[in-house]
Amino acid sequence: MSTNGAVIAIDHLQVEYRSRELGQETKVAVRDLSLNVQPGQVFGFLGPNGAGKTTTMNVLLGFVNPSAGSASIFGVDVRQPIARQRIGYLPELTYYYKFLTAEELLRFYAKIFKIPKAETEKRIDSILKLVELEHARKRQIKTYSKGMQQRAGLAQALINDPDLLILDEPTSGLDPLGRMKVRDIIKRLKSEGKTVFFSSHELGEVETICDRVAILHQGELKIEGSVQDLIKQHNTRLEAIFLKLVGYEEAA
Amino acid sequence: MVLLLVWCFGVGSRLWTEQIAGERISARPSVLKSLLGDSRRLFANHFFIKADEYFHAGYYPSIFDQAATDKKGAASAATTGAVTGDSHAGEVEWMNKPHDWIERFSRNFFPSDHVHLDTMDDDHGHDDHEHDHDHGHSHGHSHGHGHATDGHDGASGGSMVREILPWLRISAELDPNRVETYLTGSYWLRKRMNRTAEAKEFIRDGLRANPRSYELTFELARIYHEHHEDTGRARNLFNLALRYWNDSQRLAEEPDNFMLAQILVQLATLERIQGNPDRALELYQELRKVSPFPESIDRLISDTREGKPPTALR
Amino acid sequence: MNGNNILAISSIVIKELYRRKDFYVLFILTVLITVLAGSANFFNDPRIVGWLKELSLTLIWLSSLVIAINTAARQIPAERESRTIFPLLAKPVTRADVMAGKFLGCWLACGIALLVFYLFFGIVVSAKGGRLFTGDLVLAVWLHWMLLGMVIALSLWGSLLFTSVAANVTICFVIVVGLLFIGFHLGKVARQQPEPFQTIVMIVYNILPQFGFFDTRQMLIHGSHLKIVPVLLATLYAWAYTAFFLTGGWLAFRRRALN
Ligand SMILES: Nc1ncnc2c1ncn2[C@@H]1O[C@H](COP(=O)(O)OP(=O)(O)OP(=O)(O)O)[C@@H](O)[C@H]1O
Ligand SMILES: [Mg+2]
Repeated sequence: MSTNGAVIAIDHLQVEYRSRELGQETKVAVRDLSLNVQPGQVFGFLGPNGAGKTTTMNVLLGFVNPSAGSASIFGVDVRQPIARQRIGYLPELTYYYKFLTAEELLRFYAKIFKIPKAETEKRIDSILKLVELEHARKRQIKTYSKGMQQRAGLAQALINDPDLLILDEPTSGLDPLGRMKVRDIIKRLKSEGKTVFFSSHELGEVETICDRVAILHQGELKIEGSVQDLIKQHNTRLEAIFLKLVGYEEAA
Repeated sequence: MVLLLVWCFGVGSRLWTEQIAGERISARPSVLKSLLGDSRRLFANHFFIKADEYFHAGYYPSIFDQAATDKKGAASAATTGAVTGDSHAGEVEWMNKPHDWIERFSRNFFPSDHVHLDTMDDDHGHDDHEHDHDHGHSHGHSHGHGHATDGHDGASGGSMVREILPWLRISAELDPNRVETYLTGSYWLRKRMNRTAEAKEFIRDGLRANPRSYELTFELARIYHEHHEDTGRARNLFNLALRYWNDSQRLAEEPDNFMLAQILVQLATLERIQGNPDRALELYQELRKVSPFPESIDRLISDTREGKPPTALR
Repeated sequence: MNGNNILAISSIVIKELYRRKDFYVLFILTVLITVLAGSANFFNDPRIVGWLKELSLTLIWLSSLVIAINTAARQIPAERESRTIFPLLAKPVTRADVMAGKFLGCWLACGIALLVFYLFFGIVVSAKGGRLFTGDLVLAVWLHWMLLGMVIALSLWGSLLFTSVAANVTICFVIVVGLLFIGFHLGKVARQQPEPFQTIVMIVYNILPQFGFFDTRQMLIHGSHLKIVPVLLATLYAWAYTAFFLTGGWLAFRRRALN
């Protein structure tokens, strides 16, 4: 597998969670995973609950150290902080600093990326408009609803105008309109030439916006390929492929 | 957080006490008692020591130093003045040559000059009442120890004496049965601050809590004698003190003979002034039995027989 | 480490402190108690100020320790609990940046709080006509602030060692107050011990941070003067311990899994 030019390159990655209690065996969350994401792709990272999606993303962001194998982003090992300069990340579950307003939150992250002041304000305006939080920009985040917090999360992931977005279930907790909005945003990012790597349980939505998908089950990669190829190959919808891969046999 | 609460609680109840004390409501001891329980004695002792610390302008041994230098019991040596008079030895010794760099360096951060507030007048001698007032009772700033501290002016000494007083007041509120608190307070008030009225009031507070204290009665008598020139009233009070002493000490295993001698000397002098030499002689005979210096009493007796006027005791 | 990141993170800490109520509550409590106490009447002498100084300084010290320990101990656990640490570390930010930023923020915030507290103290004392030497007050506040630096670094470290914030706060408070009270006296205790305990206690005595160097309350109360050279030496001493605690905290943080 060639890693040349890949935005995300995962090579024989193994992640184990060692349990603190004695007698408990170590849990292998990701098993020998190799995966490449090419620039400009929208890549759907699928798998049932507990498959190891979040764990893989945690490795990509340097939160978790792999027990074997390696991963790099833009050719830089994920253990280097500089690898994260061009990333936007939306975590699975987060409450942002509750005592800050959306505006202040974005300003804080902009400061970390050393974005000049004038540019910061311009970006904040446009991003808040994009995620439809303009009306609440001066309110502390603790007054936000769950969906609003999710949008604030999306906004912070976009503040540095990243070339790669890693989104962990970006549409969870959003209403149908909100989901459509997020899909639009992802499409727009793709049209701007950005790479998007995201996990989701919404297979219909994955089908409509993804170029490629990978399906993970119990830490192992089951299938990887372009959405169109897979559908053609199996001659069925993504959902059916998914269910078959994870061992669910439809009563026939 | 818990500690802070405890502290606030302590302070709060103290303040409250202050206010109630200001309004002179007599119910306050029970209030305090129920609030603090037996720990109020501990607090009272703490604040009594605090007063002594202020007397030394912050130059004060911690309990660790006291344990190291005074084998007889830390707090008593520092605050109450040991009867044997060697508390002073402990007092100067606790801060001798530093043992290590930490000790040496730490002295830059707390008052480390041995200063007393009591050097305004020359009290290094052993003149009668200075000596006896402190020696047996109340506070350890015993003038009788005769340490010559120098280098501070009377004015600052006077202004700092006043800072001792709140601690004594608080201590008295917390433990109203501790007689020496009142005695010490009264001493500073009348001797240094010229606040005889307040001193009298404080002693009266003490008597309210300890109605049959011969020491407090004695102190009150002295106030009438020395500050009000009210010989008659003073005589009655000295007599009362004598009676209280008899009530409580006569049958005690180790009677407070020292205090008895004080009462007798004062009372005898007053009797002489009032023209009752016979009563005075009676008292002197009594005194002779308990005095460590019977010869000097003999001199007083012969003076009285010859009808000489008594030398001023003040 | 990256100065830009450290400053950005510290500014968040400061913002949090002044948006939370802790500081105001403690300050108002201190003011209230001091003012109430100031109106107490002792033997009709309005010029008595020493005990008020004592009370006010004790309250200031307690408040400052509570603020410092609570603020510092909460920082990293709160980041982990609300999972804000993830988006933060997903930026080009290292854990050393987080550690240093949190420390700086807490320290500056506590410095601001100290200024407010001591300003009030100065006002109270001068209103009562008490003596106060500005130079000594400045040095005393400085030393107090240096102490808080050590305390904050210690609590940050503790927050990475203990799982519960409450446990860490309690332990730090006990350690700090305990060292303030007995730190200087361990030497005497040591000298009374038989060997080998004497050597052991002596080593502990020399290694432990002597927080007592920074407590100059008695100097302020009794009008003694602080000298500049010892203050500077004590400052270096404080920085050495602060750096040590921060390094310890950073090592603990680095090894710690995030989820
Ligand atoms: N901190 C941890 N300690 C031990 N085991 C963990 C830890 N985090 C995750 N795991 C285990 O690793 C496996 C993968 O978890 P992961 O969170 O990556 O799943 P996921 O694919 O994101 O699932 P979901 O769709 O529910 O978000 C799970 O079996 C989980 O129990
Ligand atoms: Mg997940």
